[in-house]
Amino acid sequence: MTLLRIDGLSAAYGPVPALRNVGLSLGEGETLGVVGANGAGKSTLTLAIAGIVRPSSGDIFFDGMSLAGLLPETIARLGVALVPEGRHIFEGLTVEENLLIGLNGAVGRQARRDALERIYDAFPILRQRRTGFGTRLSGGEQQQLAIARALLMNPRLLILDEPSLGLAPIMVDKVYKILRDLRQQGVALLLVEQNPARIAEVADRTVVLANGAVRLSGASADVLSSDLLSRAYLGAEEHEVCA
Amino acid sequence: MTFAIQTLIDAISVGALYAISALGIGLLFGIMRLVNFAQSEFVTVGVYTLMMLANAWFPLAALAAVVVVVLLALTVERLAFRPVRNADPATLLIASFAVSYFLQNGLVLLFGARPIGFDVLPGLGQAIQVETVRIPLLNIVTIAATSTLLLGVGLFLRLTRTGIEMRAAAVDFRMARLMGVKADRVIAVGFGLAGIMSAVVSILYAAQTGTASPAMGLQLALVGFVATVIGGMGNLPGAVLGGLAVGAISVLLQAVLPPDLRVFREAFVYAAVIAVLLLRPQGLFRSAAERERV
Repeated sequence: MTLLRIDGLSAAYGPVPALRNVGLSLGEGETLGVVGANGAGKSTLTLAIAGIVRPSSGDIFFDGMSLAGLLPETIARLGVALVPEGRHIFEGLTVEENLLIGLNGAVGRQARRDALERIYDAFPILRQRRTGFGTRLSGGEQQQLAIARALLMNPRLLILDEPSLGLAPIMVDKVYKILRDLRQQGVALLLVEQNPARIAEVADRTVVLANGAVRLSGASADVLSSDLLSRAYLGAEEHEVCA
Repeated sequence: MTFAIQTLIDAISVGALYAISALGIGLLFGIMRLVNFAQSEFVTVGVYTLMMLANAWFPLAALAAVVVVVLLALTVERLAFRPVRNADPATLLIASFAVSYFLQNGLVLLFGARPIGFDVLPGLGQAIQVETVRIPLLNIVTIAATSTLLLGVGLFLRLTRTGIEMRAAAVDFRMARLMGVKADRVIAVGFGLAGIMSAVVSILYAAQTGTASPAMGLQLALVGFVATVIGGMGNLPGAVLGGLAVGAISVLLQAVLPPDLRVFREAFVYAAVIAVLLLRPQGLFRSAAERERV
């Protein structure tokens, strides 16, 4: 069952094209890796799905429904959660308040409390720090907060843009452990990384973006071991598919 | 000593009024990068409402001012600012000037350009004598009303779900929307709050000045803007502290400057603002602790 389908998606910042005729799909509970060099269009792709960047052509379907023209908050409430690059923890809000923003679906005090407790069980450090400012957490803790906050939205699709960027290796381990757990729980993930080193740990399939277009796609293990990978990173002309 | 206490009470009372103006401006700036100069007319329209109801029972007149100003704020949002919501801040600023001029000249058209005198709660003109200090009743009412309002808005922003969403939207509107916070609702609540605060300011301001004139709100909006700059754009407690600081400084300058320099009081206040912009462009009250760790 296809959860996300992107057809012929193009987008531009003024005259500068950022995405060119991108097509991909993601099944329910599947994890798709998106890798590519800096400026390849990875973040633009995530922002287009979330309704922040308006595509110039093409369409995005979530659960069979076109997202064209929908507001970011509507898309979020449909079950698409984006953890953007840089985490964007709300300044001046405590850890718990940051989490509460994600709780749109839970109605009633008890339901909210229960949802928070479940998240605190999964992320004990956040329980410890819940009354402190979110922006005072370390980078790794902030990343956990950003992911936890997104999970409270009860997403059917979780998009993560460079979740390991700027984190110490031990924190990257922790984040990837969380991602593997989420995958086991059946949450569909779209995982964007500049550095493809660890993407095979979680992603079933991987696509390589270069200059705004898909250049290589296939099973993660095949893509990441392919001789074509470095060519694709550098911007090969053709879209290649790993068998 | 007596003089010092009296000046201090004056300073707090003026500062509190400025703090509320600043909170209204700061809230909308944080959420939608709009410097809402039309807030001056929110206050002015409130004063004119009170003027028209000067002979009515005061609580009714005050309630009417709140209702009229809140409706005005919501209408302005819907008709003037929503169509340009995603435009750049310069466009929003110009739109706010347009609304401000439109409303101001509308008032001139309806009531004429001359100030109209009237009395709101004449009893507030009296003073209470505590030992050697004479405290005007109006100052006490101003301080009480503004602190109650600030406390109320503070509790709303801290304890309610909508309030927390407003604070999140004020620091990072896009991220808040990505988490499902509804832009229309947050902005409408922001304008509603700015309307309530402007109405309270208009009541206190009318009681202080006893006149209604079409351009009377400008000073308050200007100070409100300056205060949010000092406090750090998008930082709501900072805006409140900035308002208090500007009010207190101008009252203190009035008290300590030699008489022939007093006319230049505002110049000193704005020179201090320029100094803040040069030395701490992120605002005075943005603590290192709150900033993002890298």
